[in-house]
Order: sequence, then structure tokens, then C-alpha cells
Amino acid sequence: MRNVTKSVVTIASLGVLGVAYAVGAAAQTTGGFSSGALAAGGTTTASGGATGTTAPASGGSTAAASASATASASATASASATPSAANTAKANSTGTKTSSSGTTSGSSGSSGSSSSGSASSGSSSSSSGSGSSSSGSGSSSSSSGSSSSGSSGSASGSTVTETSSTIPYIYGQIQLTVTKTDGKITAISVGNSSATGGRQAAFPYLVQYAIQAQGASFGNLSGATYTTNAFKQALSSALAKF
Amino acid sequence: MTANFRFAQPNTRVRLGKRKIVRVLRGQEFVEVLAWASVVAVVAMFLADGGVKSVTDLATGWGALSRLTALVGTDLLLIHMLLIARVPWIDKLYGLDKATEAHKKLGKPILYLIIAHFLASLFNYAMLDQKTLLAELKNLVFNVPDMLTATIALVLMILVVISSIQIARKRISYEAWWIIHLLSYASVFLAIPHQISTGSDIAGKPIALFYWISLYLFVAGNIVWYRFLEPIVVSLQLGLKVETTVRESSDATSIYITGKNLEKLGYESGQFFIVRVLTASQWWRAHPFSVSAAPNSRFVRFTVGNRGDDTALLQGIKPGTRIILEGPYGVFTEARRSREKVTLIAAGIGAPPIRALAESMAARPGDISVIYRVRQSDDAALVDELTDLAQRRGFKLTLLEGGRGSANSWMPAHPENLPDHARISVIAPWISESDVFICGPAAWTRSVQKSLMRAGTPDHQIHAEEFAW
Repeated sequence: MRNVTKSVVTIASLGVLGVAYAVGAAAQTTGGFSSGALAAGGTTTASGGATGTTAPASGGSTAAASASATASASATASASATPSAANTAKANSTGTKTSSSGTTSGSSGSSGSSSSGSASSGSSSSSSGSGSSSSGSGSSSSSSGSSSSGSSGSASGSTVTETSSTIPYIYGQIQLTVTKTDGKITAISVGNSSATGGRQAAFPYLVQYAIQAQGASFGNLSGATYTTNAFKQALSSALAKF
Repeated sequence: MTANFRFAQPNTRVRLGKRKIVRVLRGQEFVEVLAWASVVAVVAMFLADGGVKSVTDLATGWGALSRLTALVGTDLLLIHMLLIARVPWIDKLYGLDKATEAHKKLGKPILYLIIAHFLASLFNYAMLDQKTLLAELKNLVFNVPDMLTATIALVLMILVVISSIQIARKRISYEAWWIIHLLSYASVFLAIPHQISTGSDIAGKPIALFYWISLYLFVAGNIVWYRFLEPIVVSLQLGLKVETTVRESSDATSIYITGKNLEKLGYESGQFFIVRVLTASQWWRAHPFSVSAAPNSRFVRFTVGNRGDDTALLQGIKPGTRIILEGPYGVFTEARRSREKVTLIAAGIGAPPIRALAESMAARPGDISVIYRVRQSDDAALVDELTDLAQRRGFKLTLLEGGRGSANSWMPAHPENLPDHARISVIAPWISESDVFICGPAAWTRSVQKSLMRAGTPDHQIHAEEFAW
């Protein structure tokens, strides 16, 4: 190989690896588990769910991470935002409930109110409005449209809860309680599930994925393949009961 | 064979010049960059997947190491298999001998990577589950799905590599080694299930899944088609059979093979086939032989020395015996010639490809010089034909006969003890500006190469085919 080619290839390789590393560093990771983009594409449904939803500490990267449990009963505010847009928007829940009414001419103050970065999952705030573009500023119409439903807090539907059978697997067992509102999965409680070796750290992620995917068709969680599979089995068994 | 051999028409045109060499080098460069890129790609996928970020403590560190070694090891393993698949596009660029050499070099590093993968995942799981290594090993192998087959795959791989290291190769027969080596296919297959079911890097990752499936299919396709199906299909289509055998010297015999549409084999002088004789005892053992006559529509000819083992059997092969030819292979051809002058150097049973090249190379009288090194003239196979060719085409033929001179010399003794490189410059005065094709035993070939370097022949003009492999 020519020296020129060698240096070009070396530099290109380092570049690719560098970018890959950056992508990896931005990905959601906790407790040794990691996952790339979810298989469920397009829109991500962030749901401020009912009790029992164990949402993970927000990694600050995907929109859903900011969804949180509200004390109030099942006020489902579903704001649809593409993950990437929310990504840049840093739409963390900020404690302030943005009850933006219909219009919300989106200057800074209203929506999302300047992402405070704290992972506190206070009150709903339904992915803080930033439907598209940057945080708070100017997101106008789309944000208002979606968040309005949140503010109104219309629990316009029946809430049903079913519990799965217990699925034993080599690292423990999993039993899930799934809550559906208006036919949508809004909350999953892991109940008396257990797993050895810190694998229970995977549960919050799996709950989040399942809610986003509205079912068991989501990707594998790196480092927790068996836990993922058992979780999916339990989820399917619960969903079958509805 | 006598001097009334019907020679084929030599080539009338040949492209010369440096550009030809450059084109080959670019091709090699392209393939090497591609191979390198595949390794970078798997590492990049690992990193993009949060491979480094997933490390938070020692246990997860082992986990990440396990993933990385598995990914790189598997990628290299597939390249390693491609290198030995006798793929024409690799052969055209490097020659099978170079590809085989690279294949041999890669074997051990791959095994180390896979063993590292095994140990790292064992440590990873043992720490997560807080078990002793032994207990975790038992748990992994027997309770985790697909891990039993993966463990068997590893054991097979260790067996294959051990049987292939030099000390072992000397102790076991070629056949035993060959059968053990076949296990490597089983090893690769047995490892696949755990990559899919347990591997963190494929399931639910469409890009990685696509990459690995394509790579596996590409390698498998190349192996199945080029190593197994194509030779059988072509040989049966052409109905290749032994026509006759002719004794050439005290220990060499020519085998003439006929069939329909022989030009379909598409070979050149200097290339070789892997010859499989379809008899009850020999069908599973194939041997590489160079063609010893230029391509023609009447026959393919191999000239085989009697070296004991199967080559002895081949001498008594019956006319009508079916033959499967795998090939053609090798870059020991006029395609690599870049200069007008050519020097062909053969020793002993290295003569066949040299003889074929002398027959077909494009040349004017005086362009080609042939040097043939033999111990005694009556074990000089094909010497009559070479003499005849030299006369007809106006080549210079030099027979170097007699026992070896000094210890490191590749020539017979010289009365004034002149060094080899001085003598070669006398025999072939234009040696430094000619293409030199060397075929003979490995040690002898290296010795010739050294003299050529001293005589001033540039590296890219020296062509040698590793004969024994």
C-alpha cells in the first residue's frame, strides 16, 4: 500500500471511530446497558402516565425521558415530537407545568421554560411543548396544539389494568402490571420482578421502550438480552388479557 | 515426449510497461482498504452503540471487552475464510500462494481474540451473578441458550489451530490435518446461534444485522460457488477425462486431459489447477499442478514429478479416468510481464510452467532466455521440448547441470568460484531489465531471488510461484 493511502485510510478511520464514539456517548446508557435508536420510528409518544410508572432518570437525549409520573390521576398528555428534534431541544421536564393554552406565541417563557437541565420529574409538563426546533423559543403552533390536551387534563377514557403471569428466566423473574387508557399503554409497573447482578437496572428502560413502542416490538437492550426477552414475554402475556 | 510436439501459436501481442504493475497495485490497495474498512466498521458500530459508555465498573468493562473482541474476531474470521476460498478476484490480484500465506498468518490472532472474548464474557457474567468462575462457566454453558454450541465451536477452533501450528503439522499426516481443518466450517456454523440470540450487537440493530448478514452471505457464497460448485459444474460440463500418460524422464510423467470446449477453462501458461482424480481412493485428495503446455483446444497437460505419496499413484493413472479441475489459479503469467526481455528460470519439477511460458509468451528471437537447473540430464523433464522451442523461437537455453556448488549457491559448482549473481549476469546480460520468472523448490527460489537483487533486477520484475503448499 502506498504511504499516501495509508495516511488517508488512517485519518478516515480515526474520523469514523471518533464520530461513532461521539454518537455512542450521546446514546442513552445507564448501569452498563445501552441502546441505540429505537426500532419504533417516527413519532415518540411521551406520556405523563399514572402511578407506578418507573421512568428512568432522564438521560437528556430522547424526548420520552422527560415524561414523568404525575400525582394526578391519568392525565394523559401526549405530545408527539420526533426524537431528534426533542434531542436538540433538551426538552427536559422542568417542574413548571406549562399549561399553555391554545395559542402560546412561543417566545421563551412559555413552553418548556428554558430547560433547567435538572432531571427532576416534577409535574407533567408533557414534554414541554418543544414539538420542533429549539427549546422554548418560537415553537409556536405545533407545541401549543399538543400540549393543550395536556393542560385540559381530560381523562376522556376508561383506564384498565391487567397483570401478567410471572415469567421466570435465568437471572430472575418478571411480572408486569400494565395500565391502558383509551386503549393505549400508559403505564407499566414492574411489581415484584427481580433480577440478579444489577440487571434490574434494565427495567426502567424496558418500561420506557414498551410505552414508546406501545407493545413488545422494540429493540434489544445491549447487555440485557435475556432480561429484555423475559420482559417482552411478560408484556405479551399481560397485553393478551386486555 | 519427442521433438515432434505440435506447439501452440505463441501470443502475438503483449502489453508492457509500468502502468500494468501500477494497476495491480491499485487493485491490491482497494481490497486491503476494504478489508480494513470492515474492521473499522464493526468497531464503529460498537462505539456508536455506546460500547465505551456502557463501561461503568469492572464487570461492564469485561462485558465491553467481550463484545469488542467478538466483533473484531468474527470479522477477521470471515476475511480469513475468504482468503482460502480460492476466489478468482483475490487470486488475480495476489495469487493463491500469497492469499494462503495471509490466511496462515491470520489464524492465530483470530483464535486469541475469540479466546479473549470467551474469558471476558465469563468474567463479566461471573461478576454480575456473583458466582465463582467455575460455577458461572457451568451456568453459561448449560443454562444460557446456544452457549453450548458456541463452546463446542471454540473447542473445535482451538483444535484446528493447534493441528495447524508447525510442530503439529510435522507430526500428523496431511490427511489428518485436512480432516481436522474441515471442522473449522462446523466451528463457524456452531457459533452463529449465540451471536444472534445472546449477542448484544445484532438483535434489534438493523444496520448491524444487515452488515453481518451481508458479510456472512458474501463469504459463504464465495466459498460454496468457487470452492465447491463451480469446479464440479465446469469439469462435468466439459467431460474432463484422462486421455493418456507419457513418461517424460526418470521421475516425471505427463498426463494429458481431454474434454469438450477446453477453451472454456480459460487458463494461461504459468497457471495451475488443483487436480482431483475421481477414483475410489483419491477423489477426496486434490493436488495442485501447473499446466506444462500452452492452452490449446486438444488437451490440458500436466507434468507430474514422482515425489512419493499420491504423485506416484498419478503416474499410473488409467486413461478414461474422470477428472475435476479446480482453477485456473496463479499470477505466474504473462499478465505480470512489464518488460520486453524475459528470463525464465526453472529447477527440477518446476519446469512445467516455465516450459508453458516459453511456448506462449509473445517474443521476438532473443527476447527470452531460459535457464534450466537439473541435477542430472536424465531427470530433466521436458528438456527436449524446451530445446526444440528454443531452436524454433530463437531463445537462448542454458542447462545448468550437476551437483550444487557452494552451500548457498543455486547453481552447479564453478571452476573459479564466481558468485551466482555474477554468473547470472553472464548467462543473461539483460537480467536487470528483464522480467524474471522463477519456479522451483522454495529454498532454491529464495536463493535465486537474492542473486537477482544483487544483479540489479527490481523487485516488481521478479515473479516466483511458491511451489510447495
